[in-house]
Formats: sequence, C-alpha cells, structure tokens
Amino acid sequence: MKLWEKIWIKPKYIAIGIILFWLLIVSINFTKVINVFDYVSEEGTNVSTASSTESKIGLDILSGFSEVNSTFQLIIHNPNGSIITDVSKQTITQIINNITYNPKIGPYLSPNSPYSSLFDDADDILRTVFSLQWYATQMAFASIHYIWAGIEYFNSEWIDAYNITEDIQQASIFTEQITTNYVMQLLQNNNESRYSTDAETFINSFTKSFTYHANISLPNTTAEALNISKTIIVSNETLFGSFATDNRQYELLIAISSDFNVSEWNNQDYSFERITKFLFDVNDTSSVEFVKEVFADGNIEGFVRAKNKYLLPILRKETSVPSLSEEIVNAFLMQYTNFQEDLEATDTTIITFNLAMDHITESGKGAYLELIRILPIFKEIFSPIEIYVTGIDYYVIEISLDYENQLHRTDLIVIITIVVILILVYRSPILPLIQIFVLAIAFCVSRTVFIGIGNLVGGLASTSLIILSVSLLGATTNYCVFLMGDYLLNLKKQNQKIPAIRETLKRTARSIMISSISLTVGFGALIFSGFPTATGLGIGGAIGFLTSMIVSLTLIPSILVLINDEILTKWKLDLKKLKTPRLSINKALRKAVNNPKKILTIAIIIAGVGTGIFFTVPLDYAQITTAPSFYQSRQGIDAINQHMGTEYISQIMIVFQTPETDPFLLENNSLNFEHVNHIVDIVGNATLHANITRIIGLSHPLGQPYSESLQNVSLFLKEEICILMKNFVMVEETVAIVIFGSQFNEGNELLDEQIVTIRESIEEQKERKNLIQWNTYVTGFAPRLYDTKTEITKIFNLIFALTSLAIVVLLFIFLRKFFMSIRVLVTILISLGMSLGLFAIFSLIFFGGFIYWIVPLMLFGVLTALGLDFDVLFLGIFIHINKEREDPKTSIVESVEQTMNNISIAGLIMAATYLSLLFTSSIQMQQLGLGLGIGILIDVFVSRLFIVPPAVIIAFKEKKKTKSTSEGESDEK
Amino acid sequence: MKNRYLYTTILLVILLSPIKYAKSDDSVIDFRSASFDNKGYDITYEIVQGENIENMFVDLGFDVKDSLSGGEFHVLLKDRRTEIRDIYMIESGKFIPSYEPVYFSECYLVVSNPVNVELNTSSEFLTSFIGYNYRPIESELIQAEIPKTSSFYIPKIFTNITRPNFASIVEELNYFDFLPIVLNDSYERFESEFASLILEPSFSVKIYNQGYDEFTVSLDVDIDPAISLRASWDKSNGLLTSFSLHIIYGNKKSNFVLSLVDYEEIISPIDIPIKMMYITNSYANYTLYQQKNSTETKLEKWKVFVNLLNQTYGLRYTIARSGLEFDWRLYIYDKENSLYTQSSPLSNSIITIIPPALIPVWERYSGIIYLIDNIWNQLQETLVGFQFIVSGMTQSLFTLRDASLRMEYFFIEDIHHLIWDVSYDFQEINTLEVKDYIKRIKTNMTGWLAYSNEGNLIGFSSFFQEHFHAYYDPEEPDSGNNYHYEFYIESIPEHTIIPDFSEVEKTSFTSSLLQIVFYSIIMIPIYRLRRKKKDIL
Repeated sequence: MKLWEKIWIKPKYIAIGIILFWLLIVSINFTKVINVFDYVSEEGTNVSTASSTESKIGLDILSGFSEVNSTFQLIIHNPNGSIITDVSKQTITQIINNITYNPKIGPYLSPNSPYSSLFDDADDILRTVFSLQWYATQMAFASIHYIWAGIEYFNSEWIDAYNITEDIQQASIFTEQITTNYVMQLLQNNNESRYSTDAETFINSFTKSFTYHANISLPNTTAEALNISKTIIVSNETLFGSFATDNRQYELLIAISSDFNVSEWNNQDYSFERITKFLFDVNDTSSVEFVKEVFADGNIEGFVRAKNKYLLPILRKETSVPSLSEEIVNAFLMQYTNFQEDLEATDTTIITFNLAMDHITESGKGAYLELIRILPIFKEIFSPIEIYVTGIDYYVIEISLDYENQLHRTDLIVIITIVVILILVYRSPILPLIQIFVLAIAFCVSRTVFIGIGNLVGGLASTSLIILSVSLLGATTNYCVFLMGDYLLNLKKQNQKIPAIRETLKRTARSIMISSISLTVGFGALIFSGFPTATGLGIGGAIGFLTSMIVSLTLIPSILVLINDEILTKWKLDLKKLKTPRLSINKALRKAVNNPKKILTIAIIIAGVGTGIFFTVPLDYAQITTAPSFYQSRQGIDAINQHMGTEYISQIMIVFQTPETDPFLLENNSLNFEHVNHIVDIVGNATLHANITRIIGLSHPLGQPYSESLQNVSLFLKEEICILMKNFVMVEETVAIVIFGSQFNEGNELLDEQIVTIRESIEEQKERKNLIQWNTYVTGFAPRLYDTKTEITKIFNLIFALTSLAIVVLLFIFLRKFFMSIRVLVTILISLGMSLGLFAIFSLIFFGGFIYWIVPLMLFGVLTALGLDFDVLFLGIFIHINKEREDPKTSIVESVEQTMNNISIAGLIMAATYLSLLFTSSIQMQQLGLGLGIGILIDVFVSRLFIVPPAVIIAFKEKKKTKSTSEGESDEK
Repeated sequence: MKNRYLYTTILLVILLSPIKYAKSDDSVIDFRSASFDNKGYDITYEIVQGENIENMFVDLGFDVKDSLSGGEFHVLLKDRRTEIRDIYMIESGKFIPSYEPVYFSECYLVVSNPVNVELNTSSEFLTSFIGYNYRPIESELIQAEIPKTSSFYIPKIFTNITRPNFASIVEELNYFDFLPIVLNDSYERFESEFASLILEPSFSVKIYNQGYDEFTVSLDVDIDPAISLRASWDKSNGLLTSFSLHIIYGNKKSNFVLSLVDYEEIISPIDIPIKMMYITNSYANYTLYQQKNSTETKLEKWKVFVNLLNQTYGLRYTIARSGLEFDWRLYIYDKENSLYTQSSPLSNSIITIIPPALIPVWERYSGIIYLIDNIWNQLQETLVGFQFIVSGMTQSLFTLRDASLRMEYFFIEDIHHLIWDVSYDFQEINTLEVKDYIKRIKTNMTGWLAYSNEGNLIGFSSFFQEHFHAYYDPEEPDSGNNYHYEFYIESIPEHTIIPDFSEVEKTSFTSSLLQIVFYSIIMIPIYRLRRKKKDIL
C-alpha cells in the first residue's frame, strides 16, 4: 500500500521510466524479433505429433540402422510410352545425378542407401546375383581341380611310387607331397589360390583314407587305384566336412564328387555343363553359355560386363537368365513401376530418396528448400518426361513456406482493420494509436521472450509461435480496451486525470491480473504434457498472456499519465447513431435476466446441438491429399494415384522383429525357414481378414516367387534367395519387412479399419503361434497418419480437461467462490459449443466438409481466454455496483451497459483481425480465420449479453444460499 | 581526370576478364597425370557433418565434445611417384606385387566452431601414447577448448595408393587406410572387386558406376561397432569428392561427412636445392659447478661448436627434391677443417628442425600457433604441479614444477613471423636405486623465425638456457652434478625488425550504447533508492 501511494507522488517520472524501459528492450532486440523465423526450430511439428506410437517405433527401427530420417519420392512419368527403355534409363540417371551431386542435397542423403530406383536397384540385384554365380563357378572349378585332377595325378604317381618303394606308407607320403605341389600349381595357374588351404586339407585326408584302403586291398594298376579313390570320395562324406566353411560349399563338393567323369576334368565345356547343372539344375545350351559369359574365364570383371549387358533385356523380359525367375522380375517391376501385364503400358516409376536428416535440422530444411527451387528447372529440362515430387517432409516445408508468405501478406490487412474499427468506435484518432503502440510493444516483447526461452530449451515449434501471436493479440487488445474504456468513463465522472487513472486501475487491475494469471497457469500446465502440440500451446499461451498483462498494466497507465486528457476527448466526433439499437438489447437483456433458468437451458441445448454437428464433420489432419492443388507434394500424390494406383501411396508396412537370440538367419548364415513360414502364415491371415489385395515387391520375403520356389529349387537358387533376402529384405538379421498396398485412399475410413484389423489379426496370430517374444509394428505412411489422428484426439481431450481444471481451480483460489468458478467454465463451454456448431455448418458449405484439426484447438484457447477476461472483468464491475445497489438484477443490467462498449470494441477488433485471414489463399488459414472470427463474435454478442448475465444471477443466488458468515471479505481490495 | 579513371577501369576489366576466364577453364586438373614438378595441390573439403565424434574415442578416455561441422579439411597433395606395392587380388585371394602410383600428402583440419576436448590423464590413450609404463600420480580430467579457426594435423585418413586397399578392408577392417584420395581409372575392375565383398555376410555394398560422372561406393559393415562408409570419386580427375563415415555403437552414433569444395595449385617455394644462412651473431657459455668429465666434454663441445658458427657462413641446408615433397639436411661449416659437416652436437638442438622452406599455406601455421597458444593458456594451471611415474627397470617420479609457453604469429610487410618464449622446470626422482637420485632441469628458450610469403626461410634467432642439477643426497644438494649452459644464435638480415609479443587485453568491452543506456536506467533508480535509505538512516 505504501508503495502504491509513493508511485503517485511523481507519476510522470515513473511513467517516462516505464515507457523508456519498454522502448529500449524492444529496440535492443528488434533485429531478432524481425527474424523470429530463424529461431523457430521445428517447422510444422503439428503434422508429426505421434510421439511413441506403434508406427513411430517401427519407423525408428527401420531408420536406426540405415540412417534414413526422412524420404521424398520422385515420380517419373513418360507420356510417350514405356519407362523401361534405354532412353528413359539415361534420363532417370541424369535426374538422379542432378539431385545426388547437388551440394545442398547430395551430402545429406543417407550414406548407405541414398536412393532407391528401378534401374539402380535392379543393377544392385543383378550384381549380387551374378557375383554370387561367379564365385560359385570359381569354387566349382577349383573343387574339380583339386578333387579330380588331384586324384588322377595321385593315382598314377602312387602306383609308380609303390612300384619303386614297395612300401604303402612310403608311397603315400611321397605321393601326397608331389600331389600337393601339383595341385597348388594348378590352382595358382587358374587364379584359384584362395582354395589352396582347402586343397591341402583335402589331399591330406584323402591320402590317409587311401593308405588305409590300400592296406586292405593293394591296387596294382591306375584303374584299380582310381576305383579305390572313387569309393573313398563317394562314401566318405565327412571328408569335406573338415574344411567346407559353409553349407553352400559343402553341398557343392558333395555334388561334384558324386557325379563327375574324371578323365574330363580338363574339358572346359564338360565342366561348365556340370556346373550349370549343379547351380541351376538345367543343362540347355543357352544357360551353359550364360554361366560361361559371367565367369569369363575367371576374370572378375566378367559379371559386371554381363550385368551391364543384361540389365535392360531382363527388365524388359526379352531375355531370361536361369538365376532370376520370372516371378522375381515381376515382383521387382511391380514394386517400382505401374507394371501390370503389359510392359509397353509401364510408363511410370517411383524413385525414393532417403535423407539422413529431416526437415527439423537446418541442413535438412536447406535440402528440401533446394529441391523446391530446382524442381521447376528439372521439369523444363527433361520435358516431355513428367516429374513430380512428394513426401511428408517436403509437404511440411511447403506448408510452412506458404504460412510464412500468408502471414506477411495479412499483417498489413490486420493493422488497417484495427485502425479503422478503433477510429469508428472511439471516434478519436489518438486512442487507436495508443492501442497499436501498446500492441506493437507487447508483440516485440513476447517474441523476445519466445526467442529467449527457445534458446534455453533448444528451439520452440512454429505452432507455439502461431498460438503466441493469437493469444497475445487477443489479450492485449482486451486489456487495452478495458483500461482505456474504463479510464474514459472515470474521467467523465471525476474530471481529473490522475484520480481517474487510479480509479481505473483499482477497478480493473485486479481482474486483469486474476484472469491473466489463471490463463497463464492453465495453459502453462500443458508444457509438462509431453505431447509436442500441447507443449507448443502451453508455451505460446503462457508467454502471450503473461507479457500482455505486464505490458498493458505498466505501459497504458504510463501513456495515459503523460497524455493530456483533453486530446483524448477533444477530437471526438459526434456520432450518436450507434446508440439506438442498444436500447432493444437492453430490453432483451432484462428479459433474459428475469428468466435465467429458461435462457440457460436453451443455451445449453443449442450448445449441445452445435457440438453434435461439429462431431459429424470429419477433421482434416493436414494430409497431403487435402492440400491446395498448387502444392508440389499434392501434385506428386495425385500423379501416383493417377498413373500408378492407390496401392503405392496407402502402404502399410509390417516390421517383424525377432529376439536377438532367435534371428532370421541361422548360424551358418542360411535362412531360418521356420520363421519365414510363420511370417507367411501371419501375413496370409492378415491379408485375408483385412481384405488386402496386394503385397508389393521384393521387399517382402514371402510373396509368390519365394514360397513357390523354395520347395524344389536347386542348391544355388536357394542360396541366392537367401542372399537376396539378406540384402534386400532384412534390415538386420532380426528385422524383416512386408509391405501391403491398400486399395483405399488416404483419409478413407476403410483404410483405418484395415489398419486396425491388420494389427488385431497379427496379435492374434502371434498368440496362437506362441511368438509373443516377437515384436511386430504396423507402420508406413497410412498407419503413421492413423496414429497421428488418434494421438491428436487424445491430445485435444487432454488439453481440454487439463486447462479447464486448472482454470477452475485457480479461479476458486482467487475468488473463493466455488459456484462462480464452475459457472465461468460452463458459460465458456456453452459459447465454445455454439461456435463449433456454427463453424461446422460453415465448413460443410464452404470448405468441402473438412475441419482443419488445429481450428477447434485454437478456438478453445481463444474462447477460454476471452471468456475468462470478459467474465472476470465484468464480475469485478458487477460486484462493485452491486455493493451500492444491493440488487443483483438491476446492477447486472447496469454493469452490462457500462462494459458493453469496451467489450464489443475489443470483440469487433479481434473478430475482424481473424476474419481478415479469409483473404489468404490457404484453405487452412481461411478456416482458422473464420473459426476464430465466428467464435469471438458469438462470445461477445451472444454469450456475454444473453448467457453470462443470467448465469451470474443464478450463481449469485446459489452463492448467497450457501454463504452465511464469511461475507464480502474476498470482495475487498 | 574522372574520365581517365574510368578508362583505366574499363581497360583493367577488359584485360583481366579473359585471364580469369582462361584460369578457370584451365583449372580442370586430372590428378592422375598432373605435373608435380614444381608444384602441389591444396584440396579443400568442407566438413558437412562432424557430430558426436566423441563416441569414436569414448573408451580411450579421450573425448571430443561439440561438433566439427562447418570446419574445413585440407589435403596437400605433394607428389606422385610410382612404387612397387603388394596388391590384394580378390579372385586369387592373395597379394601380387605391381607398380602403382603413390601419392604423398599431408592433411590438416581447421575448426570453425570452438570444440571442447577432454582427456583423462590416466587414460588408455595417453598411456599407450607415452609408453614407458607411464602412470600419473593423480588421475585428472584435463579440459580444453580448441578455439575456432585453429588448425591441426591429422595423421592419416587416406591411403596413398590410387586403388582401394582391399587387404585392409577384408583382413584388418582398417577403415581409414583403404580410401584413396585419388582413384585411378579402372572403375570396372573396382566395381567387380567391391561387388564381390557382398559375399562376406556382414558386408553390404552399393556401387554407382555406369552412367554416372562419379564412381560411388557405399559400404555397410555390420560388425561391432557397425560402420557405414560412402565415398565418391570424380571420374574426370580421379579426386575424392565426398566421403562419409558413420560409426554406430549400440545407440550411439558418430557422423563424419566431407564434401569437396575446391582445389588449387600451390607453387613450390624452392628454386635452388641449396639454402645458405649467414649467422649475424652467436655465442655460447657454460659454468660447471662440479667437475665431471662426461658433462664437461659435452658442454665443451657445444660451446666450441657455437663459437665456430660465429661470423661464418655457418648453416647450409641441402634440399633433397624440388617440388613440394622435399627433404632437408643441415650442414654446418667447420672452419678448422674447412668443410661442411652434418655430425655435430648442434644436430640435437632446435636449429636442426628449422626447415629452410615451408609449403606456403599460411593459414595452417597461424592456426596451429593460435591453437597451441590457446590450449596452453587453458592447461597451464592443470599442468603445473602435474606428477607422473615412469617405471621400467627403475622407477622415476616426474614433477612438472613450473612451465610457461607463449607463441605468436605475425604477418608484417609480406613476412611471416613466429616468436616464442618457452620455459619449464622439471624434477625427476628415481626411487628404485639404492639412494634416491634427484635430478632437476630448468630450461628457458626464446626464439624468432621468419619466412617469406613464398615459404623461404628469411631469418631466425634463438636463445637457450639450461640449469642442470643432479644429486643423491637431499641433505647435501651442492655435492651433485651441476651446470649452467646457454647459447645464442641468430641470423637476421638487414632492415628486418623482430616483432614483440602484443599486449593481451583482458577486458572485452563489447556493450553497445543502447545496452549502456538500458542498464543505466535500471541501475540509477536502484542506486537512488539505496542512497535515500541511507539518508533516512
């Protein structure tokens, strides 16, 4: 109290001090405020809210090892025919080169798989398959050399040695030595030295067996010796077990040793024939020629040459090679292109680029911006080939660019609207100037605080910034109008400046502080929620309400102290026209106050109906499909839909993760077919239940080609499939992926149902098969969106409950009136319900029947803020008057009259501001503007006039009933 | 007058533009055939990502906090020779000798943001680095901030052969030594070799070759720690254009990504293979407190030697090669025998390591000196008083009693100067002999070095002092082996001024006027309020 009196001794000095203080704060930080977007870290987290949902975990597992943090898709469409031609291949390579060599994109692509495209992945698969074939061929030749050439040499040398020494042991030792030398030389001549250890072990074990057999029956001729050798090799299978490192080598050795014409070991053609038979179980001439071509006489570059030669013919199905079945080629084509049956009609392909960074990091954002910049250039250069691009992160960057543009454009409209309305209402040019000045200062201060907090916590989201602007604009306008309006009223009564200001502060400051602190704490509580959107709302709201309270309460009185009060009144234009309609309002108001219960019931019913209408309208979760059609990402999605089919967008990816101790690969690096069969069953069941028609591509381990060919294929093909799966299907040895393509579009409820069904079916199957220790994640584009949706609903409910509770509790603490606090909340909810209903009707008519999800959230924020401000202020004045009159009904009418002007002005200004967003081109911004505009208008002109007064009457009565002794105490001060 | 300026400008522009154009046209260099006769190449990479580097060293007790992102990585290609090397042939699985082009290079790094480094004095890194059974008395955590723009050498990242070194990748998993900075042009061959790596179960390989202007290999090695590597070489000049290395340890990841920015020629500073320095002043002096033959001979030799240098043509450097990869030997004139000799006691002194020429990339040197000076300032307090034990047959306790270091780099009138002032005071107690043997060494050295902009040595000056004191009995420290030795040598051309250390300003006064006003406004009322309270009291 002492301080309070001291202030008014020399108010002008203090006022100058305060104004200078704020001006300096603003001027020091002005450049930062101007560039506030540099300090916003997470653009559009609103689209990626899902924090720890199943789909997110699944994606994280996939991105964990491969360092893929975001992807974008390039859709290449050739309007003049097939995409699988030499010319198209060159064009596609050029397009890819232009992206990977771009200094702003290239370095940020995922290091291990920067992109995946039809030709490059085919190239990869071919190279893998052919190099495997090359190695198998080399291994086969080496084995033939050391087994059969070795044996032939051994036999003749042994007979000679025995004839000289006449001692079996001696002969064997001698022959083993020279045979080893001979075989080593042979291997070296054929570039097969890598098998020399195997050869040595083989000859050693063989000699031991031979000596043993020779002791039993002594061979006299080479032919007899050969017979013994053959018996040893065919019967003694453990011979190879000692050195064959993997299953593949072991089986190959068995095959070579059991069926080979010894005398032909030096005949290349015969050997190739046998090898082709071993590898692919075929022996037609063209297959043999193919094996020859790939091996190229042991030249390792041979298979690269063969790969380059066969790549296109295989994809075009003009040639077939034994190592790739037609099913594998088909499955491959289906994954990357719109291939159905006709190759000529296959005119579109998708290239997926994997970025190691997402749009949240600076470099990642830079990469996407660069992509947006170069895309039109590509389209021009590579015409008539059509190029489209899409992807969630790409879309988020587009949307945030769009928002930024829109916001810059609307700034001017907003300022002009505010000035015009203020001039119209106050009919004085000075008041609007004061208000705009205060608004500007509050705006800068709040952004400075925003940046400061952002620096502390490592960056704040752009959603927080939007909410900050919205809440700040609302609250500051409110407080300005209250303070100035009340000051003018008091000036009329007291005719002296300083006492009028003091009276104003006495009447309003407490209410302003109560409402602002309640809002700050109410919204601030959301900071701890853990959900990005809710946290954004909390931070933005808390900063906004608190700074506007502090700035308004210090700055406005200071300005009023310094400004000559005559300036405020002198310039007033005399316009009395507006007064007439208010009389009828008064009448209606009196009626309402006399029948409070009836009015309230009607209001609640209307609000209920409104909420009902709102729930029937689906929410728009910022999907790419509902984006404006000039967005590149939208065009990309449309192109996929048009040229390829829904299955390529609505992809549901299932990630199977086994425990570390029981992976998909066995210890000898071959596939665990038991696991594979489990997956076949689970996937089959899920497709049946969820009515999935298509499983796409090689990326699933068990499509048609595998399950069929696994039964009776040759050794090599089986191994080849294992390697293909290891390299192209399994992320790690414990993780495998299956991709479903849904026939339903993004946003279609049937798609959501499919996702739920798939999840249920998988869980059920897992239980039945006793695979509970397996982790499965249903993820991908569509499940991610589904999870986001459910997440947002959850957040919304949480925000709703938490904020309401916090506000009620705080009001109760401040006002010490329980029914009043409940009453305040109820009236706010009534106006929220009405506004939502009306807005839903509008959006049904004008916005294609969708509501942008952030609108109800914002609407709740703004309406709570406004409602609370109005209400508490109104209550303060009402109690003030009621003390004198002792008659609540008349005092309520009088207090409405006293506050009507100020509140209406504030409401009008804000509504007009938000409605100006209708002039933007973004449908989401338009929705935001319209929603908030409607909400504010309803709150100010319906709720405050006809719902709050009756509600206050009822609550006041209740209070009187319950309260007996502790009267008036809390009303003091 | 004005017109004349205008004409001159236009003329200059006309004259200069074709030159510039010609230069940029000419700058496409094929490193596989480019000349290294009297030049080398400075290749600049940007560190696109250098995050979580500390994870690479975490088990060694050596930590690099902060990111290296945005820094520059330089490779100086100094020479290319053909040498016989054992090459691992993948199809036969053995080494085969063949003639391969081999590059001589050195690498250094310039950091763009301050980087914090932490080193535990008892860490594995340090013990294995120092050797001799080093053990500190107290394990301490040394922290230092490497200031921005400082530079330091990187021992080795790339192999100097022009082909990927498969032996190291298949057999040793040495992921640094397998990457060539310049790749020769048998791309098909390399593609086949890389592709065959896929047969190793823990390898996964992708190659982009046909149809691409660059040859790119990406390699994932699923071992512990998991490594993923990607490298691209420009096919037109063979140069590595980008390189990324990601190491994954469980949940931790280290990322290191380089991307080529530019390369330029550097002309060799050497035109004549012999460099002579005229000594303008020198002397040496010693005091021996306790007679001992060996010490006396040693000191006598030194003194005689430095005296010899006085007023002679003294030093002569012979440079072994022209070009950038040069080697030098220091010869000193022996007046008595009138010959140049390389075997002299001075061969152990600091003068021997002064190179007669330097590769003229001056940012590197200034960066290193800046780094040393800065790191020293941060570490001085930790290091003074630092004690450690080195044990072998006997055990010695070392104590660094005092140390100081100051270095500064100047660039004045086209001459690069370096001045320094180093001193240390060291005590060694050998505890395992019958009696404690105590040795104390105090040295002090100041010096100056100057190079021309092209890299040629212009002058130097060095003053060195050593107090040596060794004794058995702490009760009678005077009975030990004591000497004091100093020498002074300089070669200063006429009109050359040696710069002095600049005074360090401790206060950094960066507040703007606005801030001053701002704080005054807050402070004045508070001050007044206080004064009023005082007055009342």
